Amino acid sequence: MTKDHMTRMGDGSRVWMSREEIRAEVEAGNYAAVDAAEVPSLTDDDMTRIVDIMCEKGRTVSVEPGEEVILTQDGGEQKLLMDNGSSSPALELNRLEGIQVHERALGMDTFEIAYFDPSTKQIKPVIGLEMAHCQNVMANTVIPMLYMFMPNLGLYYQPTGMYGNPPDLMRDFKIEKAMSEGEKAADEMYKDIVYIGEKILSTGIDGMDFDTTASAGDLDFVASLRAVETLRESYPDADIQMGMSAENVLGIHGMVEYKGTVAAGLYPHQQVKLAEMAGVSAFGPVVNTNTSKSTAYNVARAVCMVKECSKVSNIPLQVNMGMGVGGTPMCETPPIDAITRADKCMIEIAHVDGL
Amino acid sequence: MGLVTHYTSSGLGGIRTTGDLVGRVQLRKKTKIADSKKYVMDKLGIGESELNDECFMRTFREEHGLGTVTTIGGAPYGIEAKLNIEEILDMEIACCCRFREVTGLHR
Repeated sequence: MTKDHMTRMGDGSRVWMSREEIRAEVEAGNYAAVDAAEVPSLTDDDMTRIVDIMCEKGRTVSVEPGEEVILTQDGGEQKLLMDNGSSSPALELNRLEGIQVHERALGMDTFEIAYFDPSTKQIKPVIGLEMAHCQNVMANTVIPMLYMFMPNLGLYYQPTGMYGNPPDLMRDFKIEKAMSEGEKAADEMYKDIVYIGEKILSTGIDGMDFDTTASAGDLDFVASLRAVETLRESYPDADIQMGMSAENVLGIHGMVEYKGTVAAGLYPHQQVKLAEMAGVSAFGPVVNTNTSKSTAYNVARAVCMVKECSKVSNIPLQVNMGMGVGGTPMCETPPIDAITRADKCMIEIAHVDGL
Repeated sequence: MGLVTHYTSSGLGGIRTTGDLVGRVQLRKKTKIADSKKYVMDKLGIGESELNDECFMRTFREEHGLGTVTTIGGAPYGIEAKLNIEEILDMEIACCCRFREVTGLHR
């Protein structure tokens, strides 16, 4: 067994493996997904194909012509403008210029507008500014444009918000209080999302991206779904994308439901069904990367979960393939060998509609 | 900042080709990628091999005023191009609807 294939660990560091070792990693990743999400195993052919792609000799790999998918993004122009602490290069461009660079120089199929602090609660006080910015961008760009924001229920809890912090209350064994404070915070966030959503969509922007949905757990997820449902009534044609924050919905409340389904503990193939019911246009599943495992392991694990999600979904899937999700390494400068191999596996085997 | 990497591995290319058009259809009609591409091919009257052909689409987009990646003095850009995209895709675009609404213009 010659270790003649250069690959990566989940933290981005280089590692050399034999084809047999890569095969073993792929099988382990697949079974980890089956165990965690209770989804069907990849077929033997699927796993062989992942091994083939991981072992391709080129620096980068790509899908065959005709198999391209749509690229979406999160973070909008801020991905160029923000400081390095936010994984961005801090370029001194204005916001419109940042967007036009992505449209005209970087080949993006769709793009987003984002405030530098893009959580629901932070956008609300500057909504007028954001509306004017949207109008400016829509007049001067061609590609579909979404307004990206993060629901981020966490900001509604103390110390930054007015509601009791459920994890703190639970530590004091105030379980019912933790649940009721969470419910009140979620209602407040729901109202704020609808407020900013109605304002933003009135500018003529194509739609909105609910990014890092469920970052504060099940209440965050359910409040976001309710907001989609309400916005869909006012804007039936809006492009509403929902991207998740993690592969599994944390049960911070534990019992909150959306249309009869308990939200806590749901995996991508279950999350997407709730998103469909709420009226989401495109769903972005997340599968987390394990930094101490290989890229082969992480890609197989991600593809296994997303394949089932794709199979049951009636709406397009635009899977999260950024740093640290979708099998890609958790690294600020994602290695191109790992990124392109993860992309190809996800498209060929999980049959996603976009990245 | 892996956008260029994703583009070279699997992206359609935005306004270099038909990526924005396929993306617009996918998000609006909630269609999977194959159906979204077919809709665009049918409306533009082009074949599958032209969808991702930068050279072919550069000329096609210029001729139909759909917005191009390189500068062409006087050619439709921004909302002007999107008004043409509405026509060729037979699909309303929200900012164009708003433009007509606030200016009193008609399609």
